[in-house]
Amino acid sequence: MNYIEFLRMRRNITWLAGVLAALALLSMISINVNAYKVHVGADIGGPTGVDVAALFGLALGITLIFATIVGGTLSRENETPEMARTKPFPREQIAFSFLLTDLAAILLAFVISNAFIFLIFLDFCWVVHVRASFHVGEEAGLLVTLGLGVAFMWYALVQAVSSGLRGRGGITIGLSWAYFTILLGLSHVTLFPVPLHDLIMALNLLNPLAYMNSLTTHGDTLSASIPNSIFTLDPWLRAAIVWLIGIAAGVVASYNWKRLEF
Amino acid sequence: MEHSIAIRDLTKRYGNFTAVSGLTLEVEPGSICGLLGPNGAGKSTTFKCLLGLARPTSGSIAIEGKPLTPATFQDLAYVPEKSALYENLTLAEHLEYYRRCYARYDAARASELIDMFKLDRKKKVGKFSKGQRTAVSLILAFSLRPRIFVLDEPASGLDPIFQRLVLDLMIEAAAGGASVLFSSHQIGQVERAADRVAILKNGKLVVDGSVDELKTTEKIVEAIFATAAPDIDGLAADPRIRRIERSGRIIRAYVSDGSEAIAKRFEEFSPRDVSIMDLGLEDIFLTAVDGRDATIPHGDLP
Amino acid sequence: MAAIFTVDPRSGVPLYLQLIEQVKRAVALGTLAPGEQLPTVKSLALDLTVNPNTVARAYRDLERDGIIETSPGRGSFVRSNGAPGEARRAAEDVAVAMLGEAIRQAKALGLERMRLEALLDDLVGRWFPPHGEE
Repeated sequence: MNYIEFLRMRRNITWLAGVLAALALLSMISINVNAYKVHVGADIGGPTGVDVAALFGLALGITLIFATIVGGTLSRENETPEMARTKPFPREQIAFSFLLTDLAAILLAFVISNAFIFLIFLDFCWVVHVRASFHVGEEAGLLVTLGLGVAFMWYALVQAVSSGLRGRGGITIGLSWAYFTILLGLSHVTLFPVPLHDLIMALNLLNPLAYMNSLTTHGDTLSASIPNSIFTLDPWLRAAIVWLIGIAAGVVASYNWKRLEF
Repeated sequence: MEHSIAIRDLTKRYGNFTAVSGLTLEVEPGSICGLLGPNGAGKSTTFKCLLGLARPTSGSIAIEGKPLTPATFQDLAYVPEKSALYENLTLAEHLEYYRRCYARYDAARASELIDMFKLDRKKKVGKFSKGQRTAVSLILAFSLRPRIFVLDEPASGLDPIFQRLVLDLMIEAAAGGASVLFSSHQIGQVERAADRVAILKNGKLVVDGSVDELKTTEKIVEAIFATAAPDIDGLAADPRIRRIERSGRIIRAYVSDGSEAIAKRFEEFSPRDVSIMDLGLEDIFLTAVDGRDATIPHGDLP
Repeated sequence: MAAIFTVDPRSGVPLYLQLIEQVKRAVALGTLAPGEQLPTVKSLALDLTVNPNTVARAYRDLERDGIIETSPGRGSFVRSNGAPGEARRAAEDVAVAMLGEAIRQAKALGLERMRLEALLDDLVGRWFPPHGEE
C-alpha cells in the first residue's frame, strides 16, 4: 500500500545522503587543507566531554528542510488519482501509511545528518590533534523531541494545506517558508497596536518556527541549549504542542485527501 | 442473476453543469458493454462515479450487488482515459506495487502480456510513448485477474495490431466469466467486442441495448415517389421514427423499431418503391446523437 | 478452423445471424461434415474477434434449428442425421428471401411481369445449362 511512498522516500533519502556526503567531503578537504598545521593537542569538551546535543542543532536544521521538502507527497498523488485511490484499501489508511512512511524518512534524515556532522567533527578533531570525548547532556532528549516535533509539524501543515490540491505541493512548500518566517518576524515588531500584535501572536500558534526560534538567545557552541520561543511556555510543553499540532494536521491532511473529488 | 455493475439513476453535477443525468446502466457477468458518446457526453464522469473518484449528486452504484468498498477493488480493474502512471517509476516497480496490493496478482500473466506488448520492464514509464503507457495500464489491469473491468478508452494510442489485441483480451476475459465496461471512440471496436452498447449524449442515455438487437430493429425505411414526395406529417409523429430526411422524390425514415409496419404505412402514399435498409452501428450512433433526445426502450439481451 | 467462417461486424446484419448463415452454408455445402466438431465458443470468439455471447447465441439458435448438437463438456458437433437436410432447407429460405428482394427491386425499377419472367428464365439457364453436368 505504501510501496510508492517507500520508493519516493528511498529516493529522497538517497539524494539527501548524496548531498550531505558531497558537503562532508568538501568540508573535510577544506579542514585538511587549512588546518593541517594547527596542533591544539588538548582535550575538548572539558572533563565531561562534548554534549552530543550541541551537535544536534545543525542536524535538526537539515531535517527541517528535508521535512518541508517532502511535505507535498499527498498532493503529488492527486496528479494520478486513479492509482492510489483504486487500490483495495480504505483511502484514509492509504493517506496515513504515506504520512507514517514520510515520518520514518524524516527521522532517518535526522540520523543520517548527524552521522555526517559527527564525521566532519571527528575529522576536525583528528586534524588538529584534539581528543574528543562525548556525553549525552540532560537537554538532549528535549532538544531532539522539540526539534523533530517542529519539523514534523511543519511537514504535516504543508500536507494539510496541499493534500486537497492537485499537484500544488511545491508552491505550498515555498510559500510556507515565506509565511512562517515573516509571521515570526512580525511577532518581534513592537510598533504594532495591541490588537494587531495579538492577532499575529494567535497566528503564530500554528507557526512551527514560533515554538523554536533562536533569535533571542544563542547557546554556547559546545553545550546544548534549548532555543527560545516567543511563547513563554515550558519547553516540554512546547514539544508536546508541536507534536500534537503535527498529528492533528496529519489527520486533517488525510481527511482532505480522502474527500477530494475528480 | 446479480449484476456485475448496476448504475441506478446516476446524476452528477459540477456546479451548474450536469455531466451525467439520470443514467441507469447494468452490466451482466460475462458481458462486454461498450459505452459510446461524443466528447463531453459524460463517459469519463460515469466511470469516475463508478470508482468513487467523484461522488454522485444522486443515484446509486452497486458492484456485484454491494455498494463500493475498498475490498471491491480486489475484483475490479480500472484503466483510466489518460494513463495515470508514476512517470519516475519503471514498469517493474509498477508491477511490484500491484503485486503488493492485490491478492490475485498473476506474475506469469504479467510477463506474458509484457512480451505481447514488447515492453522493457527496466524502463521508466515516463520514457514510454503514449501507446506504450496505455499498454502498461492494460498489463496492470489484466494481471489482476479481476471479475470486473472498467476501461476508459483502452485502445487509445495503440496501433491497429495492439488494438486488436486489446479486444482479444477483453473477449478472453468475458469468455472466462468476467464483465467488461469500456468506452471507445472507435465504433468498430464496440461493434466487434461488445454484446451490449450504451450511447450517451449530453449526460443522458439515448441508446441502450444488445448490438445485434439494435441491428435487428434499427432500420432505414426509404420510399421513392414518382413525383415530389408527399406530406407525411401524420407518419412523422410516430415515436418509432427517430428522424426523417427528405430530398426531392425520396423520403428516408430512420426508425428505431417496427420497420415493417412503417414501410406498410409508407405504401399508403403509393410510392414507386419502399425498401428497408440495414444500419451499421456507426449509423445508429450518428442517428442517435444527432436525433431527438429520447431513450429507446431496452433491447432484450440475447 | 478459423478459416471456415468470416463475419463482417460493420454490416447492418446482426453478427449472430451472419454466423448462423455461415454455419448453415458450410453444412449445406459439406465443408462441415455431419458429426464434425465446431470450435468452442471461446476459441471461435477469439478467432473472429467477436463477442463470446454472440457466438453462444448463434450456437443456441443452430441447436434449436437442429443443425448442431451440444453435449456439455464435449463441445458442439454438426448433427449426424438430418443436419444437411435442415441446412439445405435453411439455405433455401435464404435464397428465397434474396430472390424476393431482387424481384421487388426489379419491379420498383418498372419492369413488367412478362419481361421479368423472361429475364429470370435466361438467368437460370446461364447457371443451370441444360446439357452441362448437374
